[in-house]
Amino acid sequence: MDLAHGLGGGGDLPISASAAVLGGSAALIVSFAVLTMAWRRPRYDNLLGRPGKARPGRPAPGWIADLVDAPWWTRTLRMVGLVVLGFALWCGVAGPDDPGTNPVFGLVYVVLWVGLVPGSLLLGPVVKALSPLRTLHLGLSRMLPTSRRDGWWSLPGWVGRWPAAAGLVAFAWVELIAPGGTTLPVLAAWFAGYAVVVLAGAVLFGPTWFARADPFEAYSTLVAHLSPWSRDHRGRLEVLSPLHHLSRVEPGPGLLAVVSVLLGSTAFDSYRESASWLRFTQANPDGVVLLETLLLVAVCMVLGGLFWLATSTETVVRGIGRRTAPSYLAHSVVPIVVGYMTAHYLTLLVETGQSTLIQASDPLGRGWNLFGTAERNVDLWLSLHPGFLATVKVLAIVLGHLVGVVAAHDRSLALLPPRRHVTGQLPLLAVMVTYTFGGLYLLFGL
Amino acid sequence: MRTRRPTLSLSRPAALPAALLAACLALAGCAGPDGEGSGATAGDASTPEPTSTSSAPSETAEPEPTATPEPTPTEAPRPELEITVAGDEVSPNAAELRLGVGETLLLRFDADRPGELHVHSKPEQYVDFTAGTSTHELVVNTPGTVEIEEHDSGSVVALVEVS
Repeated sequence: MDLAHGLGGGGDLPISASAAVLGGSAALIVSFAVLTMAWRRPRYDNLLGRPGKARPGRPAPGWIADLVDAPWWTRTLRMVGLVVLGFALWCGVAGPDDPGTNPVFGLVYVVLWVGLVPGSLLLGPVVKALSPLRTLHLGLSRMLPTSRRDGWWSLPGWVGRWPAAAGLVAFAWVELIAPGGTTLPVLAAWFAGYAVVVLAGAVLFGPTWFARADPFEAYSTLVAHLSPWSRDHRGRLEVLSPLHHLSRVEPGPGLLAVVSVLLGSTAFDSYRESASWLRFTQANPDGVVLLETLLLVAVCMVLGGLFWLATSTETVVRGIGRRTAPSYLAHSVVPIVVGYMTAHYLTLLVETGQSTLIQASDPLGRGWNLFGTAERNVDLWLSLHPGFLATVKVLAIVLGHLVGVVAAHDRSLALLPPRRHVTGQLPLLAVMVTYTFGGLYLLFGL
Repeated sequence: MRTRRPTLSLSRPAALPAALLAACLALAGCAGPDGEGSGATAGDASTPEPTSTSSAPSETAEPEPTATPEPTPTEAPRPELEITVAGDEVSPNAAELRLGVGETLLLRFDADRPGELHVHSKPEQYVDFTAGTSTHELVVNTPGTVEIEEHDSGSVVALVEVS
């Protein structure tokens, strides 16, 4: 059951790799050179207590703001989340243990895991709005004494987003490594554990726990910082440039770990699918699970470690030193992650996403047609246009890196002493070129 | 790999939009895997791929045991894949092949048990084989990298690049 990305059949064609690798790396270096000359002052509000541009955003159109803040709308979204959860549970309990029939696998590995990226990019923090666990916690809280609704203890500051990083490793593991990752018992066990950890933590530490520990919410909220929808200092909905919005990512412990895991698990998946690794694991089947687990963790640690080494520097900002500087720059990895996720999962989202919707009409394999989609066929337009597909993938990666370089440059200007504005950024540039080079190399299979 | 390469000028870093656009266009132009037509046409023969022996399209028509000789305009040998099944031992081990869209791959089985191949193309295809020797034909109509997996053992016998 060595299915690509845990689910879905065929993979894409490899892309002419030398062109992509050289072009991507060169684009990065050129843009950095231009930035150092043309972009000498931080432009985005940077959480450092320094004046960014005074009013970066515009108020959102009134009807959108009214809708988003309306209690009935919030409740409707919560109901939608609960209904989808109920449907997935029903498929999981009553449906056959077969990814070819049961839509629950597609709901998890495509709609949830991949769909949250475009969803958050376009609409903002969708997982936070829909999360059925948040809704269940709201219900549970009503039964608790008022004084305990925000938890029994407050979460220590050093915890940060580390629980979410661990959760993301666990999800990557079940998606890519676990034997039987596309069988119902394994999936059910994983999500049972997830629900217990996230709900129990929320009861103990209050709703903050969701943002810190729910891997899907933490991921979605980070990606949502590239959406145009933000809140101004009075909490009103505003429309904002994605680069401005990105600069508002809250730094803190575990942020670098989260983005490193997102990047590292994609890199690991690309490598795992290569013919040479496949031949090696098929020739030496003993201990593959352990070996791949160690490799997954190692890739994430190396990517994060390189970033930490390159950004662990003295700054001119009071309170931000060698130990904390990396988390003030880690937001620049978010667009890179989005670029790689786009390249990596685009056909899975479009094509396996369609087959999930088709399966959803007949989740138990009994010839039903609940949503009228059962008779549809998967439109393979994207796969049938490999030149277009390859172009989109390369552009996504290059664009992701360019946005990342701009974000890192802007923040570096605020952090670094003026005489080190250029030299201080060189290590990070080297790391980013390494990411591009390695990422394109892996993704497009030299 | 292919004939065209991106030509990125680093000498004029001031023209950021132009340089980036040029980079992107160059990438876009070069990045596409073959575009139309079969990857195994005569155009590829001048650049032998340093991949596994079972996939390299070779100009000299040497007969190779599990090779997929390249079709030429003249009557050419058809691409083949020989699959041996002995219980859970299945070979080859993830052989790399190239195949044109719509081209027929001949599967030759030598098996000591019946079984089923899962061809992870779009849409998925299944090939049942019996104990003993048998042959089947496989055609893939969607470009992509296609895993051919022996179902009972879970082994991938071939990765077929269909273009």
